[in-house]
Amino acid sequence: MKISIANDFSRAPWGRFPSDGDYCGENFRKALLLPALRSEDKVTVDLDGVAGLGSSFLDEAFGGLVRYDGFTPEALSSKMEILTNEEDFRMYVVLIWQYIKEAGISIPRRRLASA
Amino acid sequence: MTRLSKCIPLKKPNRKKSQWLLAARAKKEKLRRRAKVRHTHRKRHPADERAALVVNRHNRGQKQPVRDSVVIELQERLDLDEHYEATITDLGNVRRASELGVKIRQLSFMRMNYISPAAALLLASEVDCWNERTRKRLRPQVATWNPGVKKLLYQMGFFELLDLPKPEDLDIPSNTTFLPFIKGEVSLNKTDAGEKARELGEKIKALAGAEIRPHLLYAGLTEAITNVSHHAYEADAARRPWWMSGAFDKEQNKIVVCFCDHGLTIPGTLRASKKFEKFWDLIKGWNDSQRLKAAMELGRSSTGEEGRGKGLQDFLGIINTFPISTLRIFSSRGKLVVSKNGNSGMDYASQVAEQRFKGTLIEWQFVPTTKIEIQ
Repeated sequence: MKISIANDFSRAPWGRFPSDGDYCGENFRKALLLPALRSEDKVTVDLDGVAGLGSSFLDEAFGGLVRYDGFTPEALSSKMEILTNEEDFRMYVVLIWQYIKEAGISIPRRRLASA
Repeated sequence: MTRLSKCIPLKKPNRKKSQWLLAARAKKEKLRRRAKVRHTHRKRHPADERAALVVNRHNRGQKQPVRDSVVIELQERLDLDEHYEATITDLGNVRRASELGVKIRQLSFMRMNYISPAAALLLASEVDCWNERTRKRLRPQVATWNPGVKKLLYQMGFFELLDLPKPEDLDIPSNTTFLPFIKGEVSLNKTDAGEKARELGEKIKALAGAEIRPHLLYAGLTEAITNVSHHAYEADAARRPWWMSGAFDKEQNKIVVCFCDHGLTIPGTLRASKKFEKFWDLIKGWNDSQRLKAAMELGRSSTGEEGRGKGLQDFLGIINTFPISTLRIFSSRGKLVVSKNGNSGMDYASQVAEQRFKGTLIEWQFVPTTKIEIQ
């Protein structure tokens, strides 16, 4: 399954929570990304066509999959593909995987703290 | 002593150090009591507040009692470089009039012969707030304005803000072109704040006729809006406005993009988290510029939640990309400048200003390298 952020969600996504704006990272994760990842074997996220992507949006949309929805970075790397044909957007692919990895590191730390 | 130990855990019991910390705590308590006494004994009449507003060349800084209206005469040059303190003083006077609900009888532009893009945005934001709060219009004497300043302020949308007709004498050659400022409010612009940031990027690209990598600007601006939504204002604030604008200097081939809010400021919301910060904060030694610099660190956030504190790094995208570029952040008394000149690394410089700016201003200045054909 292919999700285009620009065509299926917004060409100007921004913010972290719904209190920021309707086209925020949490809404993207809950409305599009999560249902697709739960129902499909392979999900491709297309970044092309958006005006840009801020860290808050990316962290909440992709890091949130690990932080709140029970995915592991390893499971995501086998199930999800991030796609872009724009040279300028290649840095977003790196950032997305970085945020997923960072969220994966913080989970055991949180469990230790609550134990 | 127990409370202090929690803030600054001592590795080994050290008598000398403990005594010194006790002295610091006693000094802090003394200052707190003195401030409390000063506050309770000093009864300020609203008229005193208003009196301090009128500071112009006629009264030479003397307080002038005014009952229900004030005259604010703006300086010759409004910019955030050499005239920073005077500019912030002038803008602070407009803010105080707005907060006290005092009518601004006249906001005089008569002496002004230069206004920078950042100062123009701050002025527009203050006048906008004054209009919103008091529902009264200013009475500007446009005929006395400097023609160059008049043209820039017209381009910026100042005339619409003040409900003024379009001036006739706008055919003055000028190197700088301002774009109309854009206003947003967190709770009101839930769907179009991103679109506004995207439009500003497109307009700047068209104005400069150059490749400006608008996605970097977009990321910086939307992160600034996100910060306004999360931290900048009190949680129960009725209004959470922000403003942004752009300008292009043809002669210097320089683009200036500014974003501002009237919130609690970055130094005002950032908590001390490292041991040395807690210590310096305790003895009032952690100043606003150091707080600003600390806020730029990756993963630093006033919320303390996981995954947060990445936004300010987005402000550096432009600086990382364009060889001649500057990022300036003004917040409270702190001023942080991150600059790049050529292919060398980024230089950080911070300062503490005398005048406190009640809000945050973020300004990007950069020279685009590649010219493009705009259709």
